[in-house]
Amino acid sequence: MTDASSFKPSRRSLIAGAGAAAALTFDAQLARVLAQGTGPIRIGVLNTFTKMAALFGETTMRGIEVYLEEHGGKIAGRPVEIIKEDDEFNPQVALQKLRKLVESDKVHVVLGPLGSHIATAMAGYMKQMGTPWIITGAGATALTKERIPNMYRATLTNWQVANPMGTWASANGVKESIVIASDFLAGHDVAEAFKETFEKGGGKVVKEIFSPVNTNDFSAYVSDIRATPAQAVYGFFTGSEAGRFVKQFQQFGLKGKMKLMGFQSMLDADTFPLQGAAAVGGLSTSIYCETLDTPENKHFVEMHAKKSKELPGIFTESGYTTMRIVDDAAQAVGGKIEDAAAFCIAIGKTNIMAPRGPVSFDPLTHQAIQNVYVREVVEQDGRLVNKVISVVPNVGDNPLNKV
Amino acid sequence: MDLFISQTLNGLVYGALLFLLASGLSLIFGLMGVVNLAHGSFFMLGAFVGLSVAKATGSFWLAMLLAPLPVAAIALAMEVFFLRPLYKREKLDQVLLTFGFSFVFTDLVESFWGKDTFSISEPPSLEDSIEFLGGFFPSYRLAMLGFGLLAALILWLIIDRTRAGAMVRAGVDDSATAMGIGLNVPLLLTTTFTCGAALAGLAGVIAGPILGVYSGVDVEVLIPAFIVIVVGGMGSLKGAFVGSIVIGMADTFGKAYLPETAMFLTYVAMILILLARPGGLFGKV
Amino acid sequence: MTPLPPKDTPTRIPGRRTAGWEVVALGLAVVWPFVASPYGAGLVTEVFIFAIAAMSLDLLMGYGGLVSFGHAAFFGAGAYATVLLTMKLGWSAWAGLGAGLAVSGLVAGVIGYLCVRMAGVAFFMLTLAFAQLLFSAAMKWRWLTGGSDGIGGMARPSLLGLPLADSRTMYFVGLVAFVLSLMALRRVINSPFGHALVGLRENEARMRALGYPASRVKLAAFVIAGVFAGLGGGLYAIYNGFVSPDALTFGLSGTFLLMVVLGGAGSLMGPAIGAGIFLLMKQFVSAHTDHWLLIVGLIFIACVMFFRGGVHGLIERLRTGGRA
Repeated sequence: MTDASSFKPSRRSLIAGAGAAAALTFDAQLARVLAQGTGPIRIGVLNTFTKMAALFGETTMRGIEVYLEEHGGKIAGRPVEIIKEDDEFNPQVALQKLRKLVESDKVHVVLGPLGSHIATAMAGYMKQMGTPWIITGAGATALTKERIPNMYRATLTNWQVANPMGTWASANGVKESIVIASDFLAGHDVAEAFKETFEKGGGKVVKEIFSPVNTNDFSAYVSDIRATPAQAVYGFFTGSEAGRFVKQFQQFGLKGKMKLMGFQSMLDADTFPLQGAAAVGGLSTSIYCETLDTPENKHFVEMHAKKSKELPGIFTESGYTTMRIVDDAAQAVGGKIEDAAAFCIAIGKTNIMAPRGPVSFDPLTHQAIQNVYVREVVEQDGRLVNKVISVVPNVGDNPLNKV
Repeated sequence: MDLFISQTLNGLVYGALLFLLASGLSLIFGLMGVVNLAHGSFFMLGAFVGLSVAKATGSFWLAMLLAPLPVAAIALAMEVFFLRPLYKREKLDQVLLTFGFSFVFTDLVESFWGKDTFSISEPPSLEDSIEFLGGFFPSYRLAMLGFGLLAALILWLIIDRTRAGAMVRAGVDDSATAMGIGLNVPLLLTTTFTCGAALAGLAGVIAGPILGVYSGVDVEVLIPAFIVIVVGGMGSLKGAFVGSIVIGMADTFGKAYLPETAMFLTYVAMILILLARPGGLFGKV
Repeated sequence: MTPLPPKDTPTRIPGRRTAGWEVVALGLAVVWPFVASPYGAGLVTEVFIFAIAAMSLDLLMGYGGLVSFGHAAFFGAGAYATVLLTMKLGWSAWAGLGAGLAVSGLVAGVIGYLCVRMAGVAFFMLTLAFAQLLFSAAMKWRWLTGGSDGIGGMARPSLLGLPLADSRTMYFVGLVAFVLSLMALRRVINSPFGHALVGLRENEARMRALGYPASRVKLAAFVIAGVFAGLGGGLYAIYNGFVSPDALTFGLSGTFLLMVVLGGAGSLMGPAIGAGIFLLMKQFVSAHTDHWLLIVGLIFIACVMFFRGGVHGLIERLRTGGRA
């Protein structure tokens, strides 16, 4: 799917080598051999590589690959085997694939998923199995309320990112806004978090629209939005949905008439190719911005440029930073990643300067504490980029998750 | 522009798209008694071929012109080599066969083009919005409406005014009699199946800039097309036309005014029509 | 080894009685979880669960000639009822499952009542529409169903003090449910009711003339099939600890249909084999090639065109030396 490299996901060779039958039976011996801390570190990547969110699975994977390439395919001195599985954005498929990763491939750590609904479905099983698990995409606010000792979230929560946008909008002259979101857990989560601070700051949400997941044609909604007196739209979409919404927003003459604001996934380096000029001027909040002027980010962008012509987006950065977290924690336990409990504790002690800025984990909820950036899409050197216009430093987890 | 007018236009545009898909589905059903479960696949195949043509040539119009051809060729082969040997069997076997083909086509598409979502760019001349009645409407969508109406007109002329059309009508009414009076029914079926597939493929290209091009779009368009032919009546061109407009409108206004129950109500309506008038509003039953 | 069936049963309805190879298969099935990894046991557990649903569709399709394109409605109803009653009302999962059977039977009763009078395409469209109706309800009633995210977090219960969190226990629950379902459905088919159902498929006018209440027989078949599909759905929910609208999709209805045709309609055991082939192929073929859909599609097409008996028909033909 992505560029070939020496450590390309070897799902197929693994299965072909071990043989389907061996994967199913008599694997106790195999497990013993592998438990000695000398073989490869097996990392299971469960993400969405098909349908509307395929883009994000692939960009997450690219971040992982960039990190490995930079470090010679090794973590804590051990070779790395990435086993990649596609959850098809479907929780039932995800559970099947997860069981395969954990019970058959016996991965040492699971990275993923993208969908909050998938993370929700995974939670019970992961808690039971105890395999270290780092979330690279799913932002459902309530996930870090669950107190799963082996789960860390190295990315945003919906609340963390949507909340500052509401504050910013109400402080910057937006009086009335529409909220439109994809009709699933994350969409409702984000809508609520935006509304909370936006209305606290004196704004008013005049209409909330929840469009069915994977809506192709937004014409009915954008026509409806145009007929309201609101000065702004706050949207939550991901992947190709984000591409289509922003394009149709322009085609129906809304651009220039009202401010376009969105969750990070709606106006991100990942989605610009689908949106083109329609995205210019759009505002969003995120935990990352590709044009951040820090040495860490410049280095990351440089490394990334070897693999892709595009600038990295948040998921690429998440993949990259998550691998850094895994690497650091593995080194802290002397490479013995098989000791899941010690490895999890080491993850919790993360305190790094990532491309996105400082990252550490909330000791109680295991949510990453990080900066949130308010960004504007601008055209620069013939391409679209996000520019930081305001920084909210060290935003933690939703206080409601801590009680 | 008045919200009502713009929503009406949106509904008509969606209806036009549905018509391109449903007309073929309906005529195939009318003639062969077979619900073609691979009809959505023809739409999807057309969209992907159109994507490749548009990318290679840079021309949307060429994509529109060329994409239906390979789709028609595949449908022709499918009809002659697979469906025809089953004419004498239960209709159900043919339905199941088309179901099997929908898997094959999905695999075909995924191995050639992958599982990502793509989009065909609209022709540059139709990229902008037209300003009229004090509002904006995307030019491309108006063009889609035009394509739908043009297709309806051409189909109507063929079915109503030509000898071939007369044969189709005779076949829909009573295929046994049609065969009795010396019509070459197999040829008629093959032609209709192939043309219906080409039309679905064309719809796939036309919908490309709006709906996107991805594996899975086949089922997503097939179910609304089913609803259209249930409402309009299976086997009737007029039914497909009216049904497309009704469903296009209902979907658009439902999304805008009854967002919580629109989808639900659509299926309730489908069930009620099936129970009260299994032949649909314009069906032959 | 296997005794040949008596030769004086020309009108034998297939799938009626236990064949020798089935006993062997059962023996292997009992041993499997002790030699397999938990993952391998889990895979086959899923096969048992889907086999129950596929067999229930076979009752309608293979014996009654009623081809439903909405069988996921009953599977999903059972799954949702089980999870909802367990999670929202705090019932035990077993009580939830029991009530799930009643709910899916009820749903099947209502849908069946309206559908059995229809024939051909109208029947097909109507079953499809009802399944889509339930699907859209599950998507929209977020307060109850969690919308497209579904409801998760249901812990696997215990049975007789043995926790189902253990993959072996879960496996045997699936196996026992499968065997009991197979036996029960066989009994249904062997009963006068089963004969009436087959008779209606063969010649409805004649059966009506003989005084058989055609609609009522079909409706009863619908309800029985619904209950067993609900059992499959409820077990699947327990197995996953989770339910989402994916359990109600058109795609799932199609999958059940595929399993039935692949294995051979009208043989009960065939659709169960079909479920096994489908799920195991999905797991293993898709690990080696991206073309597993192509392979499934082609086998399906071949079954429709040349082997109406499906895989089970082929087995029977081999077993009886071409006489069956």
